[in-house]
Parts: sequence; C-alpha cells; structure tokens
Amino acid sequence: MKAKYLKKHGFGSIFYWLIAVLLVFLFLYPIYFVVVSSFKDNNEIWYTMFSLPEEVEWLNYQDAIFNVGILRSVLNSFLLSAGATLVIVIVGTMGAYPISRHIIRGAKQLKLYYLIGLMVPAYGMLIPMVKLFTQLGLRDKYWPMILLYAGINFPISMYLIIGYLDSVSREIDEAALIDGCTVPQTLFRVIFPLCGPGISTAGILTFLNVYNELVFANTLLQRKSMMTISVTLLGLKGERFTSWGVMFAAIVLSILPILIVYLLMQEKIEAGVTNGAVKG
Amino acid sequence: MALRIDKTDRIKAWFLSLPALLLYSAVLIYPIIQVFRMSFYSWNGIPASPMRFVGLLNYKAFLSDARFLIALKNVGIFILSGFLVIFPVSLFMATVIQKNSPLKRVFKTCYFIPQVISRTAIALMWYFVLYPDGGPVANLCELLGLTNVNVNFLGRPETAIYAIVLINAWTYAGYNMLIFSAGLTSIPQELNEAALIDGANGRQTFFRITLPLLRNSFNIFALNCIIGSITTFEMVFVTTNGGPGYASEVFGTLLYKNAFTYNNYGYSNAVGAFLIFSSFIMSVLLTKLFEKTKD
Repeated sequence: MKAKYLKKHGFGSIFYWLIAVLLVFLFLYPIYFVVVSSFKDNNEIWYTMFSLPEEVEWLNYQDAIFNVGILRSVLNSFLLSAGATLVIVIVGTMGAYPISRHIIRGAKQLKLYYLIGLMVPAYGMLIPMVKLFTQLGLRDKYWPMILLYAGINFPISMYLIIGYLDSVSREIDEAALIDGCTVPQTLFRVIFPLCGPGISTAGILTFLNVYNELVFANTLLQRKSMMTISVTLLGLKGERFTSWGVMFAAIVLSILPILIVYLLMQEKIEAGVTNGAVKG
Repeated sequence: MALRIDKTDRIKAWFLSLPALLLYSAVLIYPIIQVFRMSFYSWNGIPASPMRFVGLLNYKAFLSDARFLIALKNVGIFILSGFLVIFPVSLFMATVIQKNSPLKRVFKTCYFIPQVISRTAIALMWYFVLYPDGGPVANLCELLGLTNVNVNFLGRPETAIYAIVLINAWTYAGYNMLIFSAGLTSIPQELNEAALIDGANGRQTFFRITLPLLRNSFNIFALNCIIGSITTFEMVFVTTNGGPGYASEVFGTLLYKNAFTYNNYGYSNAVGAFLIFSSFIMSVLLTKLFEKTKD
C-alpha cells in the first residue's frame, strides 16, 4: 500500500502534505500554548513547550473574570459590534439602494465619494476624532462609539451592498412600483429581503472589525466599565504580574466567543471575508 | 437603466440616502479634512489651549526626522515580507484547501483561524510565545543547542522588526489564502486536464498554466499588501511599541506616540495626513497599473 502510494505520487507529494500539516501545527501552536498556560500556576508556564498542567488552576479564570473584569469587556465588544453592524445594515442598505438604481441625481458621483473612504486608513484621523470626542463629551459612551465604528466600516460595506444590489434584477423593483409601492416600500418590503447574502457579508465584516478594533477604543474609552477586549488585554500587558496565568485566561476568554461564532458559521464568515478581500 | 419614478419618489429616494451621506461625511470625511487642516498647526492636545499656525513646520519636522527613515525602511521590510513570505505560503495553503482531501475542512479552519482573533490578542500570544525567559521559542532554541543565539527576538533592535513581520505573516496568510483560493476556483478545470493529457506533470501545470492565470488574485494581494504595510500599526504597537529605541517604528506608532506620549499633536497630524495621502495615491496608482495588466 505504502509503496504503491509512493510510486504513484512520489516523494514530492509526501513533502507537500508534510508542509501542509506543519502549517496547521504552526497556526494552532500559539493558541494551544495560551490555552494550556491559562490552566497553570506560575511555576509551570515557562521552560515548557507542550506540557499539560499538573493540576488544573481555575483560579486564573476566577481572577480574569472578577479582578480583570474580562467578561464585561467581552460584553462591551459585543454591544459595540452589534450596534455598528445594525447601523451599517440599515443605513448602508438605505444609502446603497438609490445609488444602485440611479434614482437620485449624482448617483455615480456619490458612489465615487463613498469609495474614497476605501482608500484611506481610518486611524489617520485619530487626532481630530479624539479632539471631537473630548470637546463634545462623547468619550466612554456607547452610541458615539457605535456611530464611529459604523462610519469607519461604511465604505467597504457600501461597496459590498451596492455590488450585491446591482446583481438583483430591476424587474422586481419595476413590478413593485407598478403595483403601487413607493420607493421606500419597494426597498424595505421587496428588495431588502432579497439581499441577505450581500448585506450579511457587510455585516460580518463590520462585526469582526469592530470586535477586534484597538486604536480608537484605546484612545476613546478610558473608564474600566466601558473598555473593550483589546483595550483590557493591552492594559494587562503593561502590568507586572504575580500570576501570569490570569493574563492567559483573559486572552482565552476574549477570543473564545468569536471562535465559537466562527465554528458555528464557518462557511458564511469565510465567504464574507473573501468577498470583502476581493474588492480590487 | 435607471428606474422610472415620479417626483415624490425622487424626494423619498434622497431621504433614503441622507443618513448614509451624513454618517460618512461626519465620521470620515470631516475628520480627514481636519487632519489636513490641523497638520499646519502646533497643538499640545489640551482642548482649551489654542492651536498655533506653523505652516509646513510639522511636515518639515516629520520628513527630516531620523525616525521617518526608520519607519520607511520598516514599511519596506513589511512589503518585502509580504511578497517573500505571505505570498508563497498563502498560495501554498490555497492549493491545499483546493485539494479534495478528507481533511480539507480541517486544513481550511486551522489556516483561517487567525482571521477571527483580534490583532491585540495575536500580538500578545506571540509576545508570550517569544518570551525570552523560558518562552516556548526560547526553549526550542535551547533544545536545538542554539545556546549562542540571543533569544530576545522582540527585545533586540536588530531582530525586533523581523519578528514582527513574521507574526504579521502568521496573521494574514489565511486571509490571502482565501484570495488565491477564489482565484484558483475560477480557473477552468479543463485547462489543467488538457495540459496533463499533453504530457505536462503536476508541477509544470501549476507553474505554466495555473500561476499565470492567478494574475488578478495576485494584483489584489499586492494592493492589500502594499497599502496594509504602509498603514500597519496594531501589531507593532502591541508587541514593541516601536522599540527597542526606535528600531521597529512604523508610521502608525509615530502618529500615536507623538500625540499621546510627547503631546506633539501637530506632528501626529502631519503623519496622519501623510498616511492618508500616501495610501490614497498608492491605491489609485496601483489600481490603474493593475487595470492595464488585467486579463
């Protein structure tokens, strides 16, 4: 059997799959290390590579939850992501529809105007944004952050939703209009339900981006109860630890929810990221 | 092509556009204009204290700063690592997940996982994996007998940026894998079969037929890689914050530190304006260039 396989596929093939498996190992190892270390006490973490904890140390998780408050940060990240996604889905679709159907003057120019945002890094405007938030007293509040994140993710979402709307036949709109629907009714009752795939791509990307965002959160959220996972984790890095395990437990707790979401809807998320990437 | 609608519907259509227009203009365009305006002023970040007009002084300070050249060099290393490491690795992984092996799903999931983990968490994970006092990599070096290697990869000016670009490669390989995988899917199967019938072996088919047809995927990769490298920030910020010294500085860390560490907000805005301007110009130029080579 083995010999036959070798004859047919050659050593090249074995080498190929060896690298493929090695890469799997490379992608999983840091996660493995963090998970295993989160169950260890200080003496066991360093100077090992694969060893499992001798005794499972749940204290790390207790500390991460009650002292670090990581669950609060996870909740904040979720709230901001969900809020921004909701805003993007509603505002984005409303804005994309008239452009896709050319029912407003300057639809083309408006689309170009929106696409400028695709080509600039959002954090370039960090300083004016911090100034604005400070002057208007918007720091440490959910809604301003949600609108900020929706705005940052607006161009890519717009691009994706317009792209999808363009592929939905106009005859459907025409039929609805002839039947006496107004434009908003046509959009919300007829077109919106047909745009699931396009809108969910935009939504997934927005959700992932916001959940994992660091720069704006780190400068605009200072109250502990408002911090997102990235801010809390970064704050932990600067601290001197009596127990390293807490740090690892906090990392595990912050990536676990999104990993579960990913494993539950793999295909959708991968498709979303692909569509978002292939925008060129 | 446009839908025929009457006047009241036209007005309603404008109302539909309004929230989007307002959101985008207020959150992105207005602050971007502000960045350019504020880059001509000196400001210490205290809202009550006035901004002082200084003309091009911030740009002069930024462009003549030794750290500007370091950042430029490091961005170059980021781009180079993209083409030398991320490109071949992600293309390889794309071929793996295209094969009809029983473990296809497992491979794809494992390769893709970094995409859903926050950049901060990734940077921290690697910070600990590379921890010089007993971290796994240091441990591995010791096991392999590399006792004369200084294992403080992130903490030494000579190696810090290389450690970071490798972490960056780990982070983005799965993302680019999907781009190449989409490209591979769009290549008609008959082409490969025809080549095989004509006597080409697997390797020849890949390099002579498949690779040239991945031109568009490569263009997308290249655009993302170059723009992403110019604007890279989080990975450096969390692992080294531009250090040790200024060794791993990139434009993002210059922007951040000059504002929040040195209270030199004018300088930061000059960096911000530079970032916005250069990634905009590069996007337009590269898109134009790639359009010409598109097949």
